[in-house]
Amino acid sequence: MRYKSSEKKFNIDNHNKTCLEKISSSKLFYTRDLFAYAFVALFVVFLIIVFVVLPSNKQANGFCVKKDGQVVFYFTNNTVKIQNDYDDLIETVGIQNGVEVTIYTDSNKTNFNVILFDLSNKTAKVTKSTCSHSKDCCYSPAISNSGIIYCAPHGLSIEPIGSGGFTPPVTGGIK
Amino acid sequence: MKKNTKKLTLSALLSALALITFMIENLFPPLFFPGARMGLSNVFILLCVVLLGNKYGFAVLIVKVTLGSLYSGNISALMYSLPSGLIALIIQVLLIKYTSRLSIIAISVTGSVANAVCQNAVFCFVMKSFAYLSYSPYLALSGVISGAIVGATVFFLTKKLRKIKFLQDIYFT
Ligand SMILES: [Zn+2]
Repeated sequence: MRYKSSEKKFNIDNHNKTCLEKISSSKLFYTRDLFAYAFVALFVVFLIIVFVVLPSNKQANGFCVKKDGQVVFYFTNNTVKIQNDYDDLIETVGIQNGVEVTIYTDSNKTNFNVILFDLSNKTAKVTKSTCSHSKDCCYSPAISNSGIIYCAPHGLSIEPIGSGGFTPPVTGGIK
Repeated sequence: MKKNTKKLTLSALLSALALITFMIENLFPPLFFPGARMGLSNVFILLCVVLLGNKYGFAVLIVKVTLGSLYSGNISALMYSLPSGLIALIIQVLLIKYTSRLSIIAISVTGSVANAVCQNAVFCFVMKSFAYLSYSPYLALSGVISGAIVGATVFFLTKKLRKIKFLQDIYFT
């Protein structure tokens, strides 16, 4: 059987052609879509229950701030407990109903994050950062008993401690 | 121009568009939640799958993720954005191939949610902290929005693009 040359070449790409034909001749909505959307909705509800609702029942005793996985300071009982070697990189300012901690992320003190610990609401939030254009850490909502704030460019994380997470060591390492 | 050259040219163009969109998006604040983006660059990846086939789609994804993390100075992002991007694209490719009467929007939403959650899970694994999983519901929700936008864009683009001569040449000559 002889093909015209155009038909022959056309067949090679039949798969892609059908894919384009399939999508471009499809509709914006099919009844079957509802199954996909229901599956996604159930999945989101499951995530909310497991990772937001359940952890929020735990009571935190404070916060732990880490840089590249190393603890820089704890914030417990309304005081900042700085770990060894980090004294020079941290500035603490008391404000009304809160403590504002500036942590410099390089030795030249050109880059920093400012963390606000709200004493009345028992929350922590990043208020200023020099990390990137998008400043994701500043847009992270304040955390209290659960959640975490992470600044990827600075390798900085803030998480609650206590019954929900881990308890800071009582002796050694803390000034 | 030879057909394969045309395909290569088109996939290179789509890669460039995906990369530029990705870079521009990174200049703006996140969508509702840290780490959440509109993911408009995925328009070009999904479009590439539809127009040129799976092989080219995966190539555009790899180029976008690798160069995107390199240019944004966050090469470690490659660790969690590449696996999640691949998983999401595999899901979308399978849904396109093996389902009928499922809209491209539903396919895109499913892929986008899978991308968001996988990225978060791999991130937790890399950071060795499960605390980051508290982000996952919000990232999944933003995935629904971005997936719907990407799916609708691809839907309308394919309707227009099938009439373009350059593309018809790829299929019919
Ligand atoms: Zn940041």
